[in-house]
Amino acid sequence: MSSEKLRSFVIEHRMLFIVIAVGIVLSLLSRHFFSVENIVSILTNMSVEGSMVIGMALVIFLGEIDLSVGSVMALATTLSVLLQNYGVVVGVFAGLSGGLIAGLVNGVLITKLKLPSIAVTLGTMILINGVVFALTGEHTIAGSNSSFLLISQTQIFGIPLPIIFFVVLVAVFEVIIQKSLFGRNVFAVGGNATASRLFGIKVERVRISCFALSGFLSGVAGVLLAGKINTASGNLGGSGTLILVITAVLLGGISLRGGEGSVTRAIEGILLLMILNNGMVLMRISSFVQDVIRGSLLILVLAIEAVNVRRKKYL
Amino acid sequence: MKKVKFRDIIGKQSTLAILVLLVLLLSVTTPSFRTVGNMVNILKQVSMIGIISCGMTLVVISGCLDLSVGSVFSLLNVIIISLQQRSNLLAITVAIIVAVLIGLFNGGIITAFDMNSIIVTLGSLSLIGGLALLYTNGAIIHGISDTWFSVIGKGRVFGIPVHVLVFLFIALIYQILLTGTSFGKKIRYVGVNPEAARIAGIRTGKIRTLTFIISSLSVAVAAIIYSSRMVTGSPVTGVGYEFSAITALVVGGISLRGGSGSIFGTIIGVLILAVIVNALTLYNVPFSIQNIVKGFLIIIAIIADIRARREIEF
Repeated sequence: MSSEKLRSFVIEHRMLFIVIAVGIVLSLLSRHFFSVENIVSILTNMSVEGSMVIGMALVIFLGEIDLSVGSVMALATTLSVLLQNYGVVVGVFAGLSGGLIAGLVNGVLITKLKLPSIAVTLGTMILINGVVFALTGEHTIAGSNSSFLLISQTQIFGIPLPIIFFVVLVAVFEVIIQKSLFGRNVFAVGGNATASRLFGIKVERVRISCFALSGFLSGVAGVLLAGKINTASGNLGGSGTLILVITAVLLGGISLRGGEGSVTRAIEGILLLMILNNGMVLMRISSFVQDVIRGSLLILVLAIEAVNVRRKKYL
Repeated sequence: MKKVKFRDIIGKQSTLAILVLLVLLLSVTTPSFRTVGNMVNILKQVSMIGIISCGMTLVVISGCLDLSVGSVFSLLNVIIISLQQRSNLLAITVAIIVAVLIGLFNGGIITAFDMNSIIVTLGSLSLIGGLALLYTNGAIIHGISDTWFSVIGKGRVFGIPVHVLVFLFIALIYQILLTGTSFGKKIRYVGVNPEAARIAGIRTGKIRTLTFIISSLSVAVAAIIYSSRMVTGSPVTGVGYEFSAITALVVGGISLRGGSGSIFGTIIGVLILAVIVNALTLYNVPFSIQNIVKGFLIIIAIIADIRARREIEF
C-alpha cells in the first residue's frame, strides 16, 4: 500500500480510529469492557440497529430520509411475536414481509405521488406506531414459541448467529453499492436526479427500491430483536432508535445531501455509538444523561457536517 | 361559471367544510355528541395543543419544523411545578426565560449552520427530554393548589374557561402578526424561497430564529395552563405533543414545504382532530386506533396539499 493510498484510507475511515481510541479509554476505565462476553454482547446488539443503519444509508445516498425505520422495526417484531406459534419460519417471514411492504408503501407514495420523503415517512411513522399499538393491545406481549430465541442463541464456532448474519449483510450491501449497476444508479440519482433521468436511469425504480430495502432491513432488525427479547410492545422503536440510526450515518461522514458515501462508513458510525452506549451503561451513567448525550451528539455531528459542506462550497 | 365559483369557495375553505360536515354528521348520528357539555369539553381539550400548534404554524410557514415542543412542554411543566412551591411569579418568569433560551438555541444553530430543522430538533427532543427526566430524576412532582395561579387553568370568565380565552387571544395575536405586519410578510417570503429572501435583504436567520422563540414561548403558555390545571409535574407529559401539533397543522392545510398557511387553518385542523378523537372516544374506540387514524389523516392531507399546489402551478 503506497503512502498516498494509506493516507486516503485513514481519512476515509477516521471513525475506525476513533472507535479504537474510545475502546482503549473504556478498557482503562472499566475492566468489564474488554472481555469476550461484553464485546460479543455489543456486536449482537449492534446487529439490530446496524441493519437499520444500512437501510437508512441507502436512502440517504439518494438524498432522501426515512423517519419510519423505528416504527417499521417495531411492526416486524410484533408480527414475528404474534405469528411465531405457526412456526419459527412463519414468524420470520411475517416480520420480513411486514417490513418490506411498509418500505414499498413509503417508496410508492414518495415517487408516484412526488411527495417529500420527510413528510411521508413522518406520517407512516405515526401510522405504523398506531398499528403496533393496535396489534399488541397496548400491552407488552410475549412470544409463545421458545424456539424463536434460537435466532440469537445459536452459535457457529462460538460466534452468535446474528453477528455472522449481520457481517454478511454488510458485505453484500457494500458490494452492491460499490460494484453493481444499481449502486452506481443510487449515487447518480442522489447526485443529480434530473441528469440521471436524462441519462436513461429509471429514477423512480431506484427510489422505490431503496425505500423498499430500507423497510426490509428494518424488518430484519425487527426479527433479530424478536429473536433476542421475544416480546413486543408499542414502546419499541421510539424516537431514540431513529436518533441513533441517523446519528450513525452522519458520524460516518455521509452527507444528507446524498450522492456519496459507503455502507462500511455508516457501520463504523453505529459501532462507535454502540460502544459509547455500552460504556455509559458500564459506568452507570443514568439513562436520562444518556438521552441528553445522544441528542447533543446528533446536533454536534450535524454541525460538523454543515461546516464541511460550507467549506467544500467555497473551495 | 357558477360551478367554478362554488368549487373555488370549497377549494379555499375545504377544511372548514370538512369540519362543518363532520360536526353535522356526528350531531345527527350521536346524541351524546351534540350536548353542550360535550362541545365545551372539546374546546377545553384543544386549548393547550391549539396554542402549541399556533406557535408551530409560524415555524412551518418559515420553512422549518420544530419537533422538540413535546420535550420542551415536559421540561417547563416540571420547572414550573418545582418553583411554584416557592413563588408563582418566579415559576412563570423562569419558564418564559427557559423557553426563550430553548428557542434561541434551536433557531440559532439551525440558521447559523443552515441545517435541517427536523433532524436538529429531533436531537433537541432527546436532549431536552433527558433534561426534564434529570430535573425530577424521573419522578412525578406535586405543586400547591388554591393560589391565584390556579385561576389560569381552572378559572372562568362569563362561564368560559380562562385558558380557552387565552388560546383565542394568542390565535388572534398570531394571525395579526402573520397578515398585518412586515414580520409576518417576511416569514412567508423566507418560507417560499429563502435564497431570494436573503438577496432581497431579509435577514432570514433572524426571522427563522424568532419563529422558533415564538414556538417555545407558546409551549411555555401551554405548560403554564397545564401546570395550573393539574398541579402536578411529570417529565413525560409532553411526549407525542409534537406529532399531535404536526397532524393538526397538516390537516388544517398548512404546507410542510413552508411559505403558506394561516392560524385560521391551524385552528380548523386542531378542531377537526379534536372532534374525531372525541367521536372515537364516544364510540369506545381504543387509543391505538386513534393513532392509526391520525397517521392516515397526515398522509391524506399531505397528498391533498400537493395535489392542490400542482393545480395552481399548471
